[in-house]
Order: sequence, then C-alpha cells, then structure tokens
Amino acid sequence: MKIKKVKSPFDMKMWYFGLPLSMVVFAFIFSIQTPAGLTYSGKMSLAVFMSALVLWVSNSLPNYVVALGSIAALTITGGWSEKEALGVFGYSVIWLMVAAFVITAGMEKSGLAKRMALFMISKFGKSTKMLVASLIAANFIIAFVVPSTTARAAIMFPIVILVAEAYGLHKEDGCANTGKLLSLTGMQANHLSTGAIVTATSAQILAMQMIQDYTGGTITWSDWFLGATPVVILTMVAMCFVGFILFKPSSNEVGDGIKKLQEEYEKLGKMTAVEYKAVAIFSVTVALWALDKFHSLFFGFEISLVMVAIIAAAAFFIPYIGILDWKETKIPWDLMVFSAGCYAAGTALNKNGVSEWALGSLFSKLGVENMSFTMLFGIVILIASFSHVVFTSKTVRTMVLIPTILALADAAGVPPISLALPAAFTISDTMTLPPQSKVNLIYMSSGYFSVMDQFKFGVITLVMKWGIMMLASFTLYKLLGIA
Amino acid sequence: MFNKKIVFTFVFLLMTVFSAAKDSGKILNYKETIRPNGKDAVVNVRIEALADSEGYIYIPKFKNYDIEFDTVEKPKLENISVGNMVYDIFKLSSNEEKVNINITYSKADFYKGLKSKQSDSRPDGIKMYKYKFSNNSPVVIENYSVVVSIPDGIELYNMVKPKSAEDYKIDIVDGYKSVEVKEEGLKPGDKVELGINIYIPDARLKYIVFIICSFISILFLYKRRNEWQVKNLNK
Repeated sequence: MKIKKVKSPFDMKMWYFGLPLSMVVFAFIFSIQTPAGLTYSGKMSLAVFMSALVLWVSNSLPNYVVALGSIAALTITGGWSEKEALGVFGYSVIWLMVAAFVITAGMEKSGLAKRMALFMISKFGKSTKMLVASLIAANFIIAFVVPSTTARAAIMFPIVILVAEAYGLHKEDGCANTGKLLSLTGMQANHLSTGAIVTATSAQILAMQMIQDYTGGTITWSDWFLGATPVVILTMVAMCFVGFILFKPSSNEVGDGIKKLQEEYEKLGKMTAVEYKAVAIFSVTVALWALDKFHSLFFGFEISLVMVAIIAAAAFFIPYIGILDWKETKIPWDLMVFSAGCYAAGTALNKNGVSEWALGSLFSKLGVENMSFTMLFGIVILIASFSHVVFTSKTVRTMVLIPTILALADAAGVPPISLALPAAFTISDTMTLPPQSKVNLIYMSSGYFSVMDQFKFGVITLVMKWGIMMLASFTLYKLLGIA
Repeated sequence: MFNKKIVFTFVFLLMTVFSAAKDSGKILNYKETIRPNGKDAVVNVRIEALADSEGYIYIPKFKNYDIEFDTVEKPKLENISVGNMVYDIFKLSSNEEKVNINITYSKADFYKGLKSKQSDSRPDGIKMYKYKFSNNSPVVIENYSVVVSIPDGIELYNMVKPKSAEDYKIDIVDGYKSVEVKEEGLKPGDKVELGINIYIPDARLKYIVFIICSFISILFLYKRRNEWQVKNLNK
C-alpha cells in the first residue's frame, strides 16, 4: 500500500517561509561587520552555512539544489576557494558512499542481502521494536572490533537498506516510518556506541591522551568504558522510546508482512554460487576494515578504509569474480551532490577557523568563577555536546574543545578531569545534521529520512543524554571518582 | 671563488661555537608590531635580550632605525665582522644581564599591497600583504611574535601563510583588527613568512545582495502562495 506523505501545518510553514528566511539570514550575516577573531572568508562561509542550514531543515528547496547553490555561493562570496570547494567531490567520504552503494547493489543482486535481511527478520523481526533493538545491539557489538565509525556505517548501512526493502518500504511512498526508524536509530546507535568504547574512534583516544598529559593522571580503557557505557545504554533505551513516538510505525508497515517474509526465507533453500561470491567479497572487506592495524604486518602496505571499499566495489564488477555491471548499481547522484555540498559548507567553516571562534566566544562569555559545580558541569557538557553543530571533524573539535575545558576547569577551581572526561564522552555526539559526520551522510543517502527528521530526533536524543549525564554527575561519576 | 653559502655556513658555525664557548646571550622575547602609516608601515620591535658573559647583547640587523634601551646608561654600539657578515652588538656598561630594547623603523609601501594570485570565482579587489622576518642575528630568538594591523576600512580576507587557523590568531589590538603569528626557538638564519590577503569591499555589493535576496524571496512567496492558501483553507 502506498503511503502518501502529507505536509503537516508546521512542515508547510517551514516550506513556505524557509527560503525567504534563509535569504534574510544570508543578507544579515553578509552585511554585518566581520566579527573580531574572524576573517572575511570565515564570515562568508558562516553566511552560506547558516542559510543552507535553514533551507535543508525547512525543505524549502530540494537538497541537491541547495548543495549546488552552496558550492557556488561559497566561491563567489570568497567563503572558500573554488579549487577546494569543488575538490570535496574527491573527498574520501564521497567515494566511500559510491563504493557502499556498489556493495549494496552487489549484495542485493546476489540474493545474499535478501537472505541476510530475511534471516534477521525471521529471528528478530517479529515486531518492529525487536528489529530496531537488534540493529542497535549489532551496532554496539561491532564497535568493540571495528575502530571506525565510518567503517561500521558502511557495514550496517546495506543491511538497514535491505531490511527496509524486504519489508516493502519504498522511500518514494513518503518515507514510511519504519524506514525512518531503522535508518535513524542505526545512525544514532553508531554514534552512541562509539562513545562507550574509547578505541572506537581516534578522536577519543586523542582526548584521553590530552587529559592524561594535562592532569598527570592515567585513564584506562576500562575507566572510560565504566564511565561512559551506563550513560550510553540508558540513552539508547530512551532513544528507542522517543523514536517510536516520533516515527510511530503504522500497524500495516511491518506486522502483516512478517509471516509472509518468514515463508519466503524458508523457500530460499541453499546458498547459490553467486551468493557465495558476494559472501567472499563482503567478508574480505569487513575483515580488512576490522584488522586495519595489521595491514602492514600481513601485506607490507596500509590500505585505508575508503580504498578497501573501492577495492570491494571493483571486485563486484570484475568479470568471473564479480556479479554486477554498471547499470545495476543505482547510485543516487542527487544524494551524492547533496553530500558534497553539505560537506563543503561544513568544511569551509572549519578551514576558516569559524568553529574555534564560535566555541571560544561562547566559553569566554560564561563567567565561570562564580558558578556552582553542578551549573558549570551542566553548561559545559551541553556546549561540548552541541558544539558538533559547527565542526565536521571530531579530531579538530577534540583539539579545540578539550584544552579549552581543561583551562576553564582551572579557572573555575575544579578538578580538570571532572569536566574534561565527561566532555570527552560527548565527542561522538555528532548526530543532528548531515555535514557533521560521514556516518550521517551515509545513512542520509538511504533517502528514508529528511534533514528535519534527523535534526529533531538528534536534538531530543542529545538532550536526553545530557540529562542522564547530569544524573550521573551526582551518582556514577562520584562513585568512580570522576566528579 | 668561494661559494657564499658555504662561507656563511662555516662562519656561522664558527660563530655558534664561539658564542656557545662564551656562554652566548640570547633573545628571550622578540615582538614586532606593524601599524599603518598611509601606504607605509611603522614597525615597532620590542626585544627582551640576555647579555653574554662579557656583557654583549646581540640583535638582528636593522636599517634606518631608532633604538631605545631601558638601561641607565645607553650601551655602546659595536660592529663585528665575520667574513662578509656584519653584526650589531651592544656592550652593556654595567653588570646588567637583561635588557629591554625598543626599535622603530619604517617599511615603505607595505600597505600598498601586492597583487594576490587568485583564480576562478572570487570577490574582486583582493591584494596581499607580504612580510618576511629573518633572524639575521647570531643568537636564538626563544619567543618570536609578529602582529600585523589591518587598516580601517579594509577586510582581512584570509591567511595565505600560515594557512591553518591554528597557526595564527585574529584579534583587535589597539583598535586595529590584527593578526598575530608566534614562533618559538628561531635559530640564526630561520625565517618567518606571512601572506595576508586583504579585501576592500565594494560598496555596491551590499545593495546587489539585498536586491537579489529580496527578489528571490518575493518570487517564491508569490509563486507558492496558492499552495499555501489551499493548505490554510483546508485547516
């Protein structure tokens, strides 16, 4: 049954007034005096980013139009050089997305994807809740062994897409709620799981080292795990509840299809030769991602994450080994263009120092000397968590955020670790908007959710996490000696 | 014919050994401030220097400069020649070890700007201020900083050198928008280079932007009014 999406009154207002509002934002920032601490290029990159953000959130223009317009506006206004703005299309994240779609197409054509999706559904998909929970659990488990958020997204993304398609959820039907739930919770679970395990992303290892160097103390892997995991688990549970409220699946999206899908799984029979080929390519790909630290040892050279994906994509096309031809890949170029424009707008902010300026300005206005610890903790963690809005790189954000907070703690007369370590637990909170993380761009390319869907779900989840961390500051962190 | 570079390197090494053997002085802090004076720049240099064991202060060589010391008696200027290099050295008259020096000189046409190498899409009228500092003293400068002020009415477009936002700081200094670059441990012969793109905004641009933004907004509000009205009627 086709589900026609009808714009709610709020969506309608956003759609109608979004474009004029973005023009006002652009014209305003364009005409103000360049703030102290920023270059003219920084100001213009901020103007383009903010007006593009209004357009993306309001859906007032198609995303790819905004993306193309952003690239043009960045260069003409001097926000970024033309060479660098156009060069975003050569960034690893874009190629990773291309490769991910090829891998997905290969898995789909072989029938292996259908088998994997039907297996998951027959075991766990008796209800949408169980299915979502199992995808979240899978994200958490692989975070222990795959030390890259992007690699984990590349692994889970094809599964999410194919499970959604197995349920017959077509995005052109107006983004069925189950499709939104699966992709958005998959994306958020990726970020939240990362926060529990310090080795799940290099920016967290960097933060841990910076805190140790500053305080002279030691933070072990288990210190981080014990401090972060309870908050992460509680947040993921809360995220599930909120997700089902925001994107309530209608009863006929999943329930009626389960029995039919279970019968289909039983009919599949033994794996075919084509499926074995797809298993081999996918298994080697995942193994190369998971064992990236050992490449030099095994092969005598390093293979980056994106190159592994490109090699896998190439393997799917090679005669006798692969199973695809180009016409079967179905790469959504509108989403590629959107990703490039999005990333260009966000990266220009970083390169022009706007992100550091925004964070520094915010902290300098706080007036920390007279604050109670609880209020200081609450404000610092809130800023730390939401500072991801102006950074596209966790590493750059860590290099700016952690030293700032360590110095702030000294100025406020509190132990630096009591603010810096909980702030470090928020490094992976990069889930509100597409440009902030390659994971977001990968899941966004599924087409199952809009920027507004991601934004509102992301903000709510992070506010809930902030609340849970506030509770932890009185309980868990005191017990562990952090606060 | 001796290669000038080889001679200089040899002599420099000799000087280094000589300086080390003599418990050489050093420059603790070296801060340059460049301010506009029409198209020219007035460069003010504040040096905090440490004398060597014989009371000599070594500083970089300047041309046509004014110099002030915070000592009771003005030190004596001496020159030493090493090969074809001439260094200014000052002999402190007392047992003072540390001295603060203020040097002022002019740099012609600094704020005239050079044509900036820009290609492709960009605003029109971008120029570059280029500045190069070379430590032509025989001692290490432990902390070096240069602050370049941007004249009023001119935008600091972006930094060419250093390029990374972590390597420079933009702030308001004495009423001027300024960019500061710091370096540590500048050895003799080391250089610090700055490339600052500036932009003189065209006054017409604001009006053009407003007209374009207004036109687009009104066009879309008008074109979409039917769908908006239908939706409101159906509420």
